[in-house]
Formats: sequence, structure tokens, C-alpha cells
Amino acid sequence: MKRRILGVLCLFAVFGVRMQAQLLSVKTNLLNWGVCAPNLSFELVTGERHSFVVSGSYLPGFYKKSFSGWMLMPEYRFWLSGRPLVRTYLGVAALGGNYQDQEGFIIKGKEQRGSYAGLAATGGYSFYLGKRWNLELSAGVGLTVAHRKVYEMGAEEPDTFEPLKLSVIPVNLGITLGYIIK
Amino acid sequence: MFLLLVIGLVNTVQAQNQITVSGKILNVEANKEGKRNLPFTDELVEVFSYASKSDAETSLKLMEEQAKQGLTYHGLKEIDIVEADPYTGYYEIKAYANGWLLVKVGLSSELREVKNQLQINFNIRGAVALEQVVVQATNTTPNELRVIPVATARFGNVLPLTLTLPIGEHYGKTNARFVYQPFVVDCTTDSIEAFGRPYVLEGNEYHHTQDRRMGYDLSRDTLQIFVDPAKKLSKDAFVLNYADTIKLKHTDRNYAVFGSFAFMDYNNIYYSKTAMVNTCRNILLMDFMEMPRFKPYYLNFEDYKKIAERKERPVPGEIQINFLINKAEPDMTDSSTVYQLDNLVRLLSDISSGAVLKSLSIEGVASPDGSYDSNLKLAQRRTDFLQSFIAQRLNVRGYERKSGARVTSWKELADTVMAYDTILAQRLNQVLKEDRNHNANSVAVKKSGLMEELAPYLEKMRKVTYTCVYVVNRPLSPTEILLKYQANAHDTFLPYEYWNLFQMVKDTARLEDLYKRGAATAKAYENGRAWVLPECLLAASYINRDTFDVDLLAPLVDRTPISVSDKRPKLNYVKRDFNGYETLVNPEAVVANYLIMCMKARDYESASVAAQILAEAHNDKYADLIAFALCMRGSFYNRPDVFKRVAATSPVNDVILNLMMGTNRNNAYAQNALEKVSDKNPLYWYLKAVLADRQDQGQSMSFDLPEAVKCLVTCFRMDEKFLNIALRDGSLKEATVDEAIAEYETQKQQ
Repeated sequence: MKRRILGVLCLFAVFGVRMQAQLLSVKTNLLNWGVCAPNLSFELVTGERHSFVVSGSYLPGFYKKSFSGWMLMPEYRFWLSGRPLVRTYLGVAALGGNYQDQEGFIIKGKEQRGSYAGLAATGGYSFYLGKRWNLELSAGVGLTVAHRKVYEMGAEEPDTFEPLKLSVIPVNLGITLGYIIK
Repeated sequence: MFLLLVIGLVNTVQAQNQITVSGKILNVEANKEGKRNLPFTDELVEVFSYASKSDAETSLKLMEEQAKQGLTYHGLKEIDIVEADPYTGYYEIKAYANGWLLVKVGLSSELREVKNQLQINFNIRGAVALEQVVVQATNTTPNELRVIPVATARFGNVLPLTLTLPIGEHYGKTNARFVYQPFVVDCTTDSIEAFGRPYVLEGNEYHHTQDRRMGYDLSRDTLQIFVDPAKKLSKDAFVLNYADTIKLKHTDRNYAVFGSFAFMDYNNIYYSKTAMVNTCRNILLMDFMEMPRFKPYYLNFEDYKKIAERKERPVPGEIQINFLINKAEPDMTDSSTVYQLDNLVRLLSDISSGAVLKSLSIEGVASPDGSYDSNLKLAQRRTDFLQSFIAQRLNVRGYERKSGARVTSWKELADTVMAYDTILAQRLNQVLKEDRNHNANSVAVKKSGLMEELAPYLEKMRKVTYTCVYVVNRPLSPTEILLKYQANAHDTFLPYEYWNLFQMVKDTARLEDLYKRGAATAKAYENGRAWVLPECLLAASYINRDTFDVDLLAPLVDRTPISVSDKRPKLNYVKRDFNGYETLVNPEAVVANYLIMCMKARDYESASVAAQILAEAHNDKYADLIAFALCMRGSFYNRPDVFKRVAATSPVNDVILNLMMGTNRNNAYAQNALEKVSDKNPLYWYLKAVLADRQDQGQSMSFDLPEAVKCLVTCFRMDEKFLNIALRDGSLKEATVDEAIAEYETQKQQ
């Protein structure tokens, strides 16, 4: 827990350096809300074509009690259009989180519990709605490593973890509404 | 370089945007059988252009009423009138970009708004016109903005920058910005003279996402103030309508206008082009305008009177009194003696009434004839006489007294005589050539028999010279001032004294010198505050001599508006400075004289500003002056009153102004007015050439010289200076001028 808090603080420290007239945008992924997963992102413009995003989401199990978890994803974006927060971007992200699947959504008939981390390539298009509002469509694909326990449904959770598994997963699927704070 | 040229003047004069609209007027009836659109071949198709819908409707109503009465319509408020070609239905008409067109075919008519369109077609069926068919202007080469350079008029030191350019589809984008930057090039030196105000058009997205850029600060974006708030850039076609004016350094050079066009999105400038907009051949017709010789205006002397100050200063005086022979009494039969004594009494009275006597030196002089000793005693007696004469009349103490007496030597007498009678002087010198004492010389001269001839000169030697130094502790009277000036024109004077001298001295050169010195003195006396009167008088003197100095009155004309709500600077307003001094700013006469000198200097930009200030006087005596100033600046385009007033002053002006309007209708008026100009004037032939050049569409197949060329050749024959003018003048086509010069040179050689 302490390490997690330290990690988040480090990320904020990275973004906190050189806060001079940068643009800050706060966003939320509407698709995540559709599955009752509250989420929040902060995007900081750091250059004519660059920005950094930190996104966090938490699935508390309101949608499906048997599936929960959280994710943190810092991301660097390069804006192809030439202006940040407008039109097309490409990005690279790191991601990590915890999850618990008690209903076999991931592997049918098996429960899982574990954590994951990985890298992803992202992209998207930001629509200009107004001076301070944006609507983003985003998607990405990530390569993750999972550190997990897999066991039969209803069985007792084992003590040992499975060998690390490399997976390619879709990430950052979203319809995100953003508000620019300046 | 992005500064507005005229600061704070809201009413900078700009011509309304005139464009040429063309199109076809087609008869739909002929197309009923599916044939291609045909024009009206059997009926007259007229096209009228108007500034507003109400003008058009009023004129249409009049047309219909007059048609009912069988009368001919002679026009009312048209900008231009043309007839459509009966074979093609094609028309071309000058109109305002936001004006209206009226098409009349027989009993049918149709009104259409121009709305910046360059091509408007009409499909008319009898009395009913179908829906508008508008062809958007497109470029024939879609990837290239086509700018056709044209000649522009130059008004003295003012160059209007105007451009109406259709820009096709897909140049613009919502995430792009368009910048048009005109600049003026001096055709003599090929250097950039000035930059015009940039025109910026931004797409909606571009405009609103500006501040998403890193560190962006709107207040530091130098182009933001030039963004057109009324229009947004998009992929649709649009018409660039630009108008600005540039003040030029030289009034005798031609200038070309170039424009840089650039479209840029977030990444880069994806299209840019620099093209010539106006050629080096400026339209110079306005240089031929006949301007009347305006008389200068004067301030009221009493309003600018300076306070007479009491100052101490020494004033030397001298008198000469002739005395009777061997006596101390003056010769009262001598008018000069009486006059001198009277003057002395007057002077002494002045002293008594206010001046302070510092010193009084009296020297008695005796003539050389007779004994030296007795003459010296006589001189002394004369000195004593004058001292008592003065003492009796002078009630003053404490002044320094000096007295002396001397006897004129015979040599002195000989020198005096020499100036009047050289032979007598030589004879006297002959007598005196021996080195003798005074008495011996006296005897010798007596014996020589010259005494009778020398008598008048001996009288001159009998005198008392008097030098009085006194200090005047009161202002000098006008007479004293004039005397002081006559004694020494380069003496120092007080502002009050200058004020008097301005009214007393008559010589122009001396007066101008006094005006300059008076202005400088007053300024020094009053801590730099200017004295308007001598500056205005000097300006008036310059105007009378048909010369000018624009810098003379420029500091005295305040061009800044009083407040934000005032549209122009005030005339005759009282300004109070922080010391509490009140100054009358922009007095009428000063502004009027400044205006006249600006006109002489061909600084029409400053002249038009002064004219707008002077217009506040609402006084008919300035009407012609104001009209000319505004006219020469180009305001006649949208000021019919100015046009009318100036055109009425002379036939040449009438012709030129109508030619400058550039419409077919005005060309016709110019043709009429030209009939009143004498054909012995080379300018008649020049203007005739301009008219003929406009009417010549280049379609003639004749081998004869074009009319314009013939007229130009006649003009060159009468005055060769028009040759150089024609080479530079954009009123004439280059080919016409070249042909005329070639023909003229050929004829000269024959």
C-alpha cells in the first residue's frame, strides 16, 4: 500500500515539475461509467505537440459484484495535428493494476486474482466542442504481464502464483469527456 | 510596421468597395423547347447598379412612372448603367460589393442583391423572373490564387490599398488561419516603403483552440487585433475585401503594391503566395487638378496681445543744436534746432514721468574760425547753457553728469567739407598744408578768402552733442518701439514689442524675420509655450508668397480627439494644462492655413485631417478649401457633395473627377465636360486620350492609329513633358503609350 502511494506521488512529482502556464485538463471516460467504474484522468500539456496523461479507474463491483479491480495508466501523447488537445494523437502508456475475477469472465470456469503491468500503444481523436470542452475517442493495444492465482471456481485459493503470463489486451477504449482548466 | 497609420481618427476616409459584376441575362422563353439559353435579342436589356435597395426601388418607381407618361428615364441614383450584349446576353457592371442590381427588360424588371458575388446570371421569362442562378467565381487553376495587377490611383502622398479577390473552395479550413499582408514598394528604389494593415481570417476551431497551445498568451499575439470578427475561415469559397491607405514619403514617385497571402494550419503554412496587386503605373490624373490659389486666414490681433512688461534697459539719445555765431543761445530760426529742442523736452518729460536717468554727457563744440581760446570758452558757455536748460526742466537727482567742450580743428572742417565739395576742401587743405598752430591756421584761412564759401560748413561745426542714458521703467509706446526697431532692427524686443512691430513694419522679408524672432522670444519667455500669432502670420506670409512649410503649424494643430466619444479633434477648444494655463487649441485660422500649406506640399493625408477639423466651423468661407482637401484625398468617391463642389470649379476638374470614378456613366459625363476644355491646352488631348483608351476595347480591325494614340501624339507635340508623365501614368494602357511614343518619335524625325 505504501509503495502504491509512493508510486502515485512520484507520478505527480513528474508532472508537477515546471508547471508554468501549462494547460491542465480533467477528463472522465463515459464508457467506464457505463460499467459503473468511476474514473478520472488528468492531462497536462507540456509542449506544442506533447501532453502527459494520468488515468485512474476503479471497478468496485457495482456492475458485477464478482468482478472488481483498479487500474492506473500514465500515458505520453504526441499530437499529430500540431496542437495539443485537438484532433489526432498517438501515445505510449504504462499500465498497472489489480483485479479479481470470481465468475470466470476471463477464463471460463476459473477464478482469478492478481495484478498486472504492461505497456501499451494508444491513439485517438479529440473533437473540439467548445473553448474548454473536448470529446475524445480513444483506443489502444497493450502488452501486459500478469502475476496471478488461477483456481477452479468455488475451490480454495492456492498459496502459489501462476507463472508470469504475457498477454495482448485492448486498453484505453473510451469515449472521454474533458474539461480544460487553465 | 503593424501600427495603424492614422491614430485615433475613426473617420479615416476609405472608398466603398467597388467590384465588377458580370454575368448573363437570358431569355427563358426561348428555352421552352429545350434549346440552350438565349439572350434577349429583340429587346433592350439594361442593368443598373445601386448602393442600396431603397435607391433601386425609388429609381424603378420613377422609371415606371416615366414610362407610363412616355418620358425617357435619365437616371436617378445609379452607380453604373450598362446594356447587356444582345448576342450573348453578357453584361459587366461596376457595383458596390454590398449593393443591388436592377435588370430591366421591356416591362419586366428584377432586383438582386450583389452580396460580394462577382458573377450573377439572370433567367427572365417575360414579366416573371425565375429563381436566382448564381455562379460562384472559381479559379481556372484550382491550386493557384490568381491576382491580376491593376493600376491604382495615387492622391499626393496617399496611396489607397484596395483588393477584392475571390478565393476558391478548399483553400481554407476550420483549423486554419489566413493572413493577407500587403506592402508598398517604391518603384524608384525598389525598396519596401511601408506595410499595410494585415488582414487575418481564422477558422472557428483555430480561433477557439489557440489558448490550448503551450504558454500561449492572447495579448502577445500580434495578429489578434487584425482578425476579422465577422467572418470565419472554412473550406467554402470567400471573397477577400480589403481596404487601407498608406501615407507615402514622396509625392513624385510611383509605388507598387504587393500582397502576401498565407494559409496556415496548426502544423505549417500549407499555401503561400506573394503577388503584385497594383502595378508601378499609378493613376496620376489627380495631379492635373486645377486648384485655386487659396488666400491665407488671419487671427484677431487683439486676441493674441501680449502684456506690456516693465523692464529696465538703457536707451542712448543724442541731439544736435545749432547756436548763433559767437553766442551761447541756440539759433531759433533753424527748424532743425527747434525740432531737436522740442524732442529733448519731450524726452525729458518722459524721463520725468517714469524713466530713470542714469547719466547725462554734454559736449559743446565750437567752430574753428577765430581764436582757439575764445572758441573754447564759447563752447563751454554753450555747454553751460544746455546744462541749465536741462536742469530747469528736469526734476531728477542722482544722475551722473559729464560735460566737455572742444574746438573743431581746421583739419576736421576740411574732412567735413570733402564730403560735400571736394574742390573747396582741396583749396582749404592747400591753405592748411603748412604745419601751424590753430590760431595761425585761422589767420591763413581768413587771408585765403575762403571764409564766405566755408560759412555753411562752419555753422555745422557749432553744436552741442548730448548723450543721455536713461532707463525706461514703463512699457515703450508704439512709436518708441518703432524707433528702437529702426535704430537697430536686430535689437532684442519683448513679446509685447513684437506684437506692436507686427502691425507697424510693412516690408515682407523684415516681417517674416520678426515673426520668427517673436515666436522664439515668446516661447523662451513662457517656458516653451508657443505663441500662435506669429506662427500663423508667418504661415500667411508664406502662403501669400506661394511657398509652404508644413512643419511650421503642425505642432499647433492638435489631431487627437478629446475623448473616446468624439469622432474627430475639436476646433477652437480651450485646453487647460497642469499649470492652469488656458490655451485655445486649433484656432480656425491656424487650422485653415495649415490645411492650405499641406495642400501645397501635396500632403493630402494631413490636409484631409485638417479639413475634418475645420469642418466643425460650419462656415461657408472654408467650404471650397475643405472640399478640395477631401477631394484630393480621394473622398469624392463616397461624398457626392465634395464631388459636385470641386467638379464645378473648372471643366478640367469635372473631367478628371468623372474619369476617376471609372464607371461608363461617368466616362460619358467626362466626355461632355471635355468639350468645355480648350483644345489648345495639351491637357485636353491627354484627357481625351485617356477617355479614348477606355473606350477602345482593342477589337478594332482598322489599320489606322487608335484614337487614344493620335490624341497622345498631339499632346506630346504641344508639350513634351507629358511624355514622361504618360510613361508613369496608369490611366493609359502601356501599349497605348508605347505606340504613341513610337509614333511621336517617328514624326519628330520626319
